[in-house]
Amino acid sequence: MKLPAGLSFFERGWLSANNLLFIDEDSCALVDTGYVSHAPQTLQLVQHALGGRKLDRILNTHLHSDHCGGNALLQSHYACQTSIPAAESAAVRDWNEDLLSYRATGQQCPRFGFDATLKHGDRIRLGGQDWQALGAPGHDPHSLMLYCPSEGVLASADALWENGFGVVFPELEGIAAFDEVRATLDLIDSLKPRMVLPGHGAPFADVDGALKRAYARLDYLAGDPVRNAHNGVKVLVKFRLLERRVVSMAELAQWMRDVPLLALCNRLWLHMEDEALAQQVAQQLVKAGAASLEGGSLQDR
Amino acid sequence: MQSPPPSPCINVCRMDRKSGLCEGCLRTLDEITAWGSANASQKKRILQAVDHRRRLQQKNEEQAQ
Repeated sequence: MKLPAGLSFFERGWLSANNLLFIDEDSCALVDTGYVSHAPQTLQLVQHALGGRKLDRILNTHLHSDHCGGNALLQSHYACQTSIPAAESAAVRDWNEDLLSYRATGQQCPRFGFDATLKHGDRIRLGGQDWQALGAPGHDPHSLMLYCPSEGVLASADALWENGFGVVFPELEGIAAFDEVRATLDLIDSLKPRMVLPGHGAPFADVDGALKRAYARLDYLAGDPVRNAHNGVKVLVKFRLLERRVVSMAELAQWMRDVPLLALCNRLWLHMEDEALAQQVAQQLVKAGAASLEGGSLQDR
Repeated sequence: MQSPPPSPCINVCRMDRKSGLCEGCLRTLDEITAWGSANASQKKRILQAVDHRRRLQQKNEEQAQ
C-alpha cells in the first residue's frame, strides 16, 4: 500500500491519534498532534522527518485531546500557523471549557491558539497535492476528514477505522448523532477511496470491508443507545487508564462521580451505583484483555 | 501476500535520551517514522530488532541485580 509522495504517516497508539506529515517544496504541514503527554515525542518525530526544515502549519481534524494535545508544544517550538475546524473557533479563542471536551472527559489539553479555520468544501494544498476538507459529524459534530481525489486517499480521523469508528460522543449526552454517523459513512462510501488513513490504527485498503463492519456496528449501537453509553464509559475509562497506567477500584468509582461525562452518561442511560459501574467496566476491560485486576487495582495492559 | 504485523506501540511514547529508543516499544525515531509506510517484511525486521533489544535489556537488568 503506497502512500502519496510527500506524505509520511506516523502510526501512533490509542492515547495519541496518528499524525500525517506533508512535505513539499513550499511548506511542511502536520495533521493532528497526539496527546499532551506524548508531545515531546511528537516533536521529535516531526524534527526527525523534517531533517532541519521548519514546520509551517498544523491542521486539526477535530479538537479531542488525542488529536491536538501537541499543538501548544509544536506552536512554541516552530511558531507555525494552526488551522482548526471553523465551528470550534469561538471555543478555542475563548478557551471555553464548557464547549471544549477536556473538562467533561477528565482529559488534559494545554491551551493553544489558531490562525485560520477549515470547513466542509475547503481546498488545501498539502504535500504537492490538492486535498478537500469534508465535514464528518457523528463521533464529533465538528470533525473534518481530508480527501485527496487525485490519489483516492482519505484521512478519516475517527469517522472510520479498519474496525469501527470513534465513540459517538453527542449521544452520550442525549444529543442525537447516529444519523450523522450514517451520513458520514455514506459520504465515505460515495468517495470510493482506494486507501484510508485512519486516526487510529494502520492504513487500510479494504474500505468496503471496513464500511460493512462500521454499518453493522452503527446498527448495533443505534438499536439501543444504552449500548453506546456502556461503550462510551468503557472507552473513557480505558483512555484515562492509558494515561495513568493504574487506578484503585475505589478511585475508579470516584471517577464515575468526578468526571462530568461519566456521571452524566450514568445518570442519563445506565442508572447504576458508581461502585457497581466501576466493577462492571473493570470486568469488561479485563475480559477484553485491555486491563488486569491486581490487588484491588486496575492495571493498564 | 503476508499480512503486516501490528504496531508494537504500547502508548508510553517517550524517547530515552541515552539509548535513543522509545521507552515503551524500544524503537528508534527512524523506525517509528518509517513504520507507517513500511511493508510486512520491513515491519518484521523492526520487530526482530525490538525483540533483540528487549532481551539485551532484560539481561542487563538481571546482571545489575
